[in-house]
Amino acid sequence: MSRHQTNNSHSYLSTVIWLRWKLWRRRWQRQGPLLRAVGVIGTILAIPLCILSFLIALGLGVVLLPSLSRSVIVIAWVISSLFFIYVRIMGLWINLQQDEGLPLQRLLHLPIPFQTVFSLNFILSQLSFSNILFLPAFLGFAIACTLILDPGNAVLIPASIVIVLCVGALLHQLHSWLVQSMVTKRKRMAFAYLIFFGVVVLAQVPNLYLVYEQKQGESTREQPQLEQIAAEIVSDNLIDQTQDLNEASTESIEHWSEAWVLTGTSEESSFPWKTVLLTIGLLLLAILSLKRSYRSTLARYRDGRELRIGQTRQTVVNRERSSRSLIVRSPIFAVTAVTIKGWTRSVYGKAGLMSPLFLLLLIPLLWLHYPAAFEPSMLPLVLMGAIALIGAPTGLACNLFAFDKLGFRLFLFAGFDLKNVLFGKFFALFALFALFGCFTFVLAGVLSPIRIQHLLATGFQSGAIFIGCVVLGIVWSSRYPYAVSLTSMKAYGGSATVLAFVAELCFAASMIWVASRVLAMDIALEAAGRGFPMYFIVSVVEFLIFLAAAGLLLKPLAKLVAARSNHILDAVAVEN
Amino acid sequence: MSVETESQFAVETEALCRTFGDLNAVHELNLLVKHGTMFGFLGRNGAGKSTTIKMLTGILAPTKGRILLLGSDLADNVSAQAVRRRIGVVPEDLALFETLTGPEYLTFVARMYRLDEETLTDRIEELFSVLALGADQKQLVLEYSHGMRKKLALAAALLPDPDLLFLDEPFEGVDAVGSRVMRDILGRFVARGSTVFLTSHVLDIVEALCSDVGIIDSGKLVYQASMDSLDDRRLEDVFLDLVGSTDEMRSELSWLNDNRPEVAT
Repeated sequence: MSRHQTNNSHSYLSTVIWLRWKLWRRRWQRQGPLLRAVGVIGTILAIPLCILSFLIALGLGVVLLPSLSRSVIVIAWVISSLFFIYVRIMGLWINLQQDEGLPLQRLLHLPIPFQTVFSLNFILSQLSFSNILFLPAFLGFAIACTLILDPGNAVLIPASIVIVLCVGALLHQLHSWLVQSMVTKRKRMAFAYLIFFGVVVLAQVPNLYLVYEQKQGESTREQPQLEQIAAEIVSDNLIDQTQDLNEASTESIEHWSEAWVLTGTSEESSFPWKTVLLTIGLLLLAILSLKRSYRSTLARYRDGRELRIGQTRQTVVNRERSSRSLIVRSPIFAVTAVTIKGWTRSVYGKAGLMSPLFLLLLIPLLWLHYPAAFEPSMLPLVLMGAIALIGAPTGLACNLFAFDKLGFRLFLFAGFDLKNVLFGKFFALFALFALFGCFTFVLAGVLSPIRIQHLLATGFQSGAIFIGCVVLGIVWSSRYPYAVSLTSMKAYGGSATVLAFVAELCFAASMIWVASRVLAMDIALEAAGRGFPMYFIVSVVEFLIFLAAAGLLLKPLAKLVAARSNHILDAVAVEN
Repeated sequence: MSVETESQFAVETEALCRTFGDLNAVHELNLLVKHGTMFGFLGRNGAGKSTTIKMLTGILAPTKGRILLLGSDLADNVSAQAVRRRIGVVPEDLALFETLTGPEYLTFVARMYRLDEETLTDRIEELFSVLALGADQKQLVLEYSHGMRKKLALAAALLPDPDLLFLDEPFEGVDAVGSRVMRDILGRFVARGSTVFLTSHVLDIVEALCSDVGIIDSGKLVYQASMDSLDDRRLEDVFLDLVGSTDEMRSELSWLNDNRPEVAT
């Protein structure tokens, strides 16, 4: 040890706290004004919030507990615990999108024991908003239970601490696993987005089921009159049965809730063995989880698992495969391939590609809520609207060059005809449009039959909308380009992003309005016995006009891109 | 500062191995680096240099073998912790906290080494001045150029006044002036009896700076000697003889040999 080194001038804890404070402050300084304000308010209010949360829970407990039944108290505990877990998981999700608080790989070469860094990291990660809010509330309510109900409920005080610790330990382990699974930031962000997407989609399942059940119920209620009279006769019996069912379901909830740790005593003056045992069990689970998390983190860094994952083996160029993939040798398709790869390999692009799937959920919901929209006369418009929403007018079409980043320079330096670049981008968008378009057609076709003539006409109408949107998108991409992060969901476009989407939506809506008039006339003619495929013919003509216009506009559009190329490059090549 | 010569060697490895799955990144490595030497560790890309440095600095655990630094066995946790306070490291990825300023980063490192406040302040000021790390001390590390980051990492490694320095590619991306300053500092560091273990692809620098060299190829140590033993041979020739020559690529890229019609004679 150097003579200038001391043993006690600064503990590791104070140094690590100092470092985390500095890192947090810098992150705060680099955020927008709104987030900065939220950060300041959150920090200032942390301690008052902690005290307030405790006092409110204590006060509510003291006032309400004497009048509440035991089952209500148990359910309140369970719901608040589940809400706490939900908030913690949301916190984990947000945390995953940000940089690691204290990345261990930046400390490994320093003389600090690994277990110290790990422990400090865990302890400091527990200083979260959810813990500050919920732990004092749990403690306040537990104290109220002890004072008002039974002294035996004092076990709820350590139980509250243990449950917060256990959730923290399990989430810490989950966080380590997620970070380990997603070595690069790009993978991490994509994973986080997939989780979010999965949760949102899964959350829709009960909703869909309930709506379906409701619909089924409504159809069942539409019974013949005779059956209704019979039902009225037995209605008294039904009321009794309903009451029985309600009681049974309450008992069932209470029964299942009893398995939860934070329930306290079930009878006065009895010792809450169950809570004590569950608390010990959860404490052991927390310790085991932390131990496992420590081992896996140690293995990740010291045993070089991260290196192994990141290690690239020397690859031999597969000439056969290479020649196969070059069947389409046109520079246009080279641009198409590069564009699609840019979308699928960046988190922002993935989000853009997956967002239409959210909108696809609207179709079954629409079918359940408004079956009238799936009448043969309305379906073409519904389809067109759906395709317009999920197809071309996405953020991708309105910022076509964002994913090229510095690669955009290649288009300029390589003497590449910018018309070919635009063609390439067009085909990339078309692949996306065709994929989601076909999917929408099939989905809607399953839910309600559509006439083949109308189906084809709708395809042409959608094609016209697509072409128009792409042309608008190219103009927008040249006039208002903005950078997107390849490793996160961040876009640097601000209002440009929203305006572009609104502009394309307005265009699509106006096209659908025109189509609806034509379709109405088509149906009116058919009703009058004059079978004239007006909707089909107008759609084909409209499509051809749009196609020809796009062809004519291609050259001026290429000129526009060339004139704005420096501006585009400056905007999209931002490092992020 | 006195160097405790518990062992004749500052760095000793015995049959050091590191595997990643089927890949033998380092295989049966036996290295001996004397105190007070500037040791250049050379090899092609992927030869195992950085893996070796990671193992020597305790960042990566060896699969097999033994490491002795300044006479202490790294397998022994207690002595390893003590010896780590006597070494300075410039890792491959530099391991900097980008949203700190240069002085803040150095303060953090100094506190990790538990330097007293007075020494910490004096040394940071001196290192900033000598390594020309910029007049604006409020500049964040993320705004530093690559060369400045290297110099900051070197400053952090020198800060605790270590007995042994491990430097992974210290001169890469550093300008000529900075490189000269770094070489002078390292020269003074070794002259007082401390040891430097460095990797570099710039063979001229290694030739001018190092007293001893080791060459690793495919994870195996293929050469270790003092620079004096090279006699009149250039280090580059020795290196190419041992790890491969340019002959193998002559048949490839033949299209680059085609003369342009307008310049053909």
